[in-house]
Formats: sequence, C-alpha cells, structure tokens
Amino acid sequence: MSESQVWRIPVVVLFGGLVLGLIGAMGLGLGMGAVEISPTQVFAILLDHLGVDSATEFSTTQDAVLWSIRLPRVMLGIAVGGALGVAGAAFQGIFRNPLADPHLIGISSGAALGTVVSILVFGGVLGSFAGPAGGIVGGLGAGVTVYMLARHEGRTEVVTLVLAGLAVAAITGAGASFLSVAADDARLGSVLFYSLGSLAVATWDLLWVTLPFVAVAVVFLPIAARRLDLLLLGEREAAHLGVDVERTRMVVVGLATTAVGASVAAVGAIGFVGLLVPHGVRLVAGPGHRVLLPASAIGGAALLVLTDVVARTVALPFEVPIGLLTAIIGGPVFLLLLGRTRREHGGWG
Amino acid sequence: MSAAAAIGLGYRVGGATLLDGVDLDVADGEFLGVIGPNGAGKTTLVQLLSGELVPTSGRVEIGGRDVATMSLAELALLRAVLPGHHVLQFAFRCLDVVMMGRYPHGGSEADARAAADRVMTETDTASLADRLYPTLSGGEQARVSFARVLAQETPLVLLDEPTGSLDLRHQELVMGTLRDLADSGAAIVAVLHDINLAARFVDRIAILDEGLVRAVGTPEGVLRPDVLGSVYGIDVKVVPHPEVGCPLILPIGGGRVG
Repeated sequence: MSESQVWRIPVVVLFGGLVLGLIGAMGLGLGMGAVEISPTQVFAILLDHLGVDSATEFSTTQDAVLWSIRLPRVMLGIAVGGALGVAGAAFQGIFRNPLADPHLIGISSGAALGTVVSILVFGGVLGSFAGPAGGIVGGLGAGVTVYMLARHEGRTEVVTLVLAGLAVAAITGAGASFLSVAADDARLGSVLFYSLGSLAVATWDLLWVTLPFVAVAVVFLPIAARRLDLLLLGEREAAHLGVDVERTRMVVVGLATTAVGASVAAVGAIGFVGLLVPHGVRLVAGPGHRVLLPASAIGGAALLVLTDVVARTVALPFEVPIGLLTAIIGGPVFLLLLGRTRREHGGWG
Repeated sequence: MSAAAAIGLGYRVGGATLLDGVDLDVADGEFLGVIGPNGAGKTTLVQLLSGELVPTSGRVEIGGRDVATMSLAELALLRAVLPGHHVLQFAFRCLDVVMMGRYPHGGSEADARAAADRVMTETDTASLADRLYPTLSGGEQARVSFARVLAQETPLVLLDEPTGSLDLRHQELVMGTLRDLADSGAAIVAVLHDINLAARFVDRIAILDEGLVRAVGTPEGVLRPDVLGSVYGIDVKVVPHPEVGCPLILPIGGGRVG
C-alpha cells in the first residue's frame, strides 16, 4: 500500500474500540491500588449504592475507598480527559494546525493563573465555582492574547503561535506558582499542582462543578464539525462556501476554552492529551471532525483514566504527578510531529 | 441578463489604489477572461466580485443585488470561487474535499456523493478520489480544487488562475469544461495568464492594468499589438491561429527593465 493511499478504520470499529478501552481503563481505575477490589466486588459495591443486594462479599473499607475516592476520581478523569481531547481537536481545527495543544498554546497556564486569582479574590463569594469561573476567564485571556499575536494577514503563523504560547505559558504559569507560594492559602494546594496536575483532589463535589462545563463543550462542539472541516480548506474557502468564519471561531474557541478552563481549575494543567489523542484518531480515521471530535473526547477520557492508574500505582506509596507521565509520552510524539510537519510543508512558518 | 457586475468598483488599502473605477459585467452564459500584468489588480477584482473584500468605492452586484447586502450563505449558492493557491494540509481524501463543495446546498450525504462523482468524472479527477489531498502534486491539487468549485453548482463561477499549475492537457480540459459550463448557461469570470489559451476559449477579454480596465471586448477586438505592447511593455506580433482563427500572440522582444 503506497503512502498516499488511504487506510481508514470503520467508524463503528473505532468507537467500539474506544468505548471498550474506556471501560477497561475504568475497571483498572476502580480496582487497582493499595486496597484491592475485584471486578465482581466493584459491581457489588456499585449495586449496593443503588439499593440492590448481591451475593458478593466486600468490606466497609473497600466500599469507602471505591465510593468516596476511586469512583469520583475515575469520573473526574473521564471529564477532564474528555475535555482535553475534544478541546485539542477543536483548537487544531480552528488554528488549522495539528500542533495546537491547549497546553502548548498557553491556554492551560492562563487558566491556572485565572483559577488561583479567582479563588483568592472571589473564593468567598463564588464558593466552589470560583475555580472554574477563573479558569475559563484566564484561559480565554491567554487564548485571545496568543491568537492575536499569531495572526498575520488573515492566517495563523505556526512559529509565532507556539512561541507566543510559550511566552504566555511562562508568564501565567510563573504568576500562578508565585501566588500559590506567596498566598500560602490551603485552598490552592501545592505549587506543583497547577503546573503538573493531579487527580488526587477528586471529590464528588469537584466533579459536579467541573462536569457541566465539560459537557457543554462535548455536546455542542460537534455541531460545528462540518464548519471546522471547511475551515481546514482555508478561511477564504470556508467563507466562500457560506461559513461565518469569525463567528465559528468565537464559538469553537469559547466552548473549547470553557472545557479546558474548568478542567485546569479542577486538576491543574495536564499537557499533551489534547495533542496525542486527536493525532491518533486522525491517523486511523482521518481529519473529518464529525468523527474526530467525539472520538477524541472518548479517547482522551480513556487515556487520562489509564494514565492516572499508572500515576498512582507505579511508585507506591507515592503518586507521580500525572502531567509528568503525559509529558513523557507526549513530548517525543510532539517532536515527531514537528519533524513531520517540517518535512511535508518545508518548514513550519 | 447580467449575472454579475462591477459598478465604479474601487479598492484602496494603505494609501495604494489596487483597483479604480472598474465597470465590468458578465452575462449568463458568458465566459469572461481577465488578463493583465502582475500587480494589475486581477486577484483583487476576483476578491471584490466574490464579496470577500468590501469595496472602498462602487459596488458589486450579483443577480442584480448588491453583494454587500447578501449573507455568506446566500452568496454561496450564487457564486463559487477558486482561489489562486490552495492551503489544505490535513489528510482529507480528494472525494471528501470535492464533497465539501456541496455544503451550501445542505443536502444529504448521498446527494453530495453523487454530485462529487459526477464533477470528478467531468474534470478527470475520479482516479484521485481515494488519494489524500496533501500527497498530490500542485497541479493535481488545483484540479481537485477545481472539481470542488464545480460541485458547488452556482450560476456564477469566479476563478483566479485555474490553469496556472496545470500541464497542457489539463489546461485544455479545464478551459473546455468552463466553456461547456458557460454554454449551458453559467457566467464565468477567470483570471488567466496565458493569453493564447484565453483567446481560444473565452467570449470576451478584459485587460486590467494598474487597477484600471484598459480594454474589454472580444479576443479579436482587444488583443491588438498596440494594446498588449503598452500594457505588458513588450513587442508582440498578433497572427490568426492557423487552425481555429482566433488571435495568436507571439512575443518578439522588448522585455526590458524600465
């Protein structure tokens, strides 16, 4: 088969595989850890909470660990992973660039700074919504700044996009870390939290303040799928075909940033998920957004839940920050992508 | 009736006048070729006619209505545009690219597929249907983009150098397809660099120079040595084409700086 010929996985197989992968990751996430819980016990405990008795025996410790710690953690992993996957795909479509990961273009760090500021300033008024609200505003601020810097005569320059993202990430990331140290506020957690991320903070409450923002993006972004496809033809071409480019851009960036902002507020900035997952989906299913967006959401969820299992079991009794693991996998892939972009398009200008 | 018209059309940006007081129209069933030296304002004219740029003076009418008052969705059903270069870098199949041309019609996937199959056969791109667009050569990409523009099936088609990167056979094919399209009632405006190619296929030629229309008329009427000589700054000889009789332009020198 020559390189230019197309091999595409059937859509049913793709989604079937992704859902199975997600279920498998959830099984590992719920069962593995210092307290072992077998799959049948997992079912028994879940059924018990739904008011159904089953024959399988389990201890109260297992019940408490599963229901109060692992289940919210796995669910938050699904929400955040889904958010990062779908947002990555959306940003790459809008910027017409396969390297536009929300982390790399500064949106995650902007969201982290927004979260810290918001918790310190509005924490009393907004309560638990101060985090996601600040994260979304901060992410939008960073996104708009980077975007304006990278726009030139109607197109987005890759080098400027990545460099502007780097600068904005450095500034806002430093700001967030500085405030975390200087404020010495228990609500902010450790300095490393916002820069590397951790799902250890998961609670049902945190899930409920994060999930709505993610759900909005996952549900509504696919509505723009056709328009995102046309945008890849070029902004002029899309407009000629009747797409309101400016409006599409605002809606898509707004939705994607909402999901990323709320995720960062909940678990900190976790990089490369938004790069790895859409890239993998494109390789097997092509760049069409009707498949890419939902598949990236499910794939992102599965990848993050799985990575979190590794993060909390690989160095027991310690947890490895999950952002370190995603960077270890994602960094080399990013380098490969850079090399490929360069070969195919004669540089990345 | 006039399919599209430029009325006192001007475009000025950053102190430079790219187009000035252009009056031009194209009728249903007519193929209008636009020629002129580099920087004459040909691409700007296409961008203004398509509604992509907003004129700084005058107006553009499509089907008798001012383009400035029409929505992008309305326009997309009335005119299709082939830009001068193509920027798609994502690995869509060529069939998918051509099907995108059906977006304004909002029909079913099957309708889009049927229309795409038809225009890809017409444009000799059917063999490229399953290839990935970014892996094609520049000329092949141009042909697939041309097929996408035809799939839009609009009464007005605007093209910026549709034959620029094509080999001889495909130049003929594209021009022949446009000729047929005009004969079936569409209005075609194409920016062309190859004057001889234009002379054989178009109904009328507009010569643009420094933002002004220097001449409009049939190829026989406007392709004269004095006009071409002053616009392009070279000496040309114009002879009748030995086979088809249209003007044949032979440069004979004078291409000097200054």
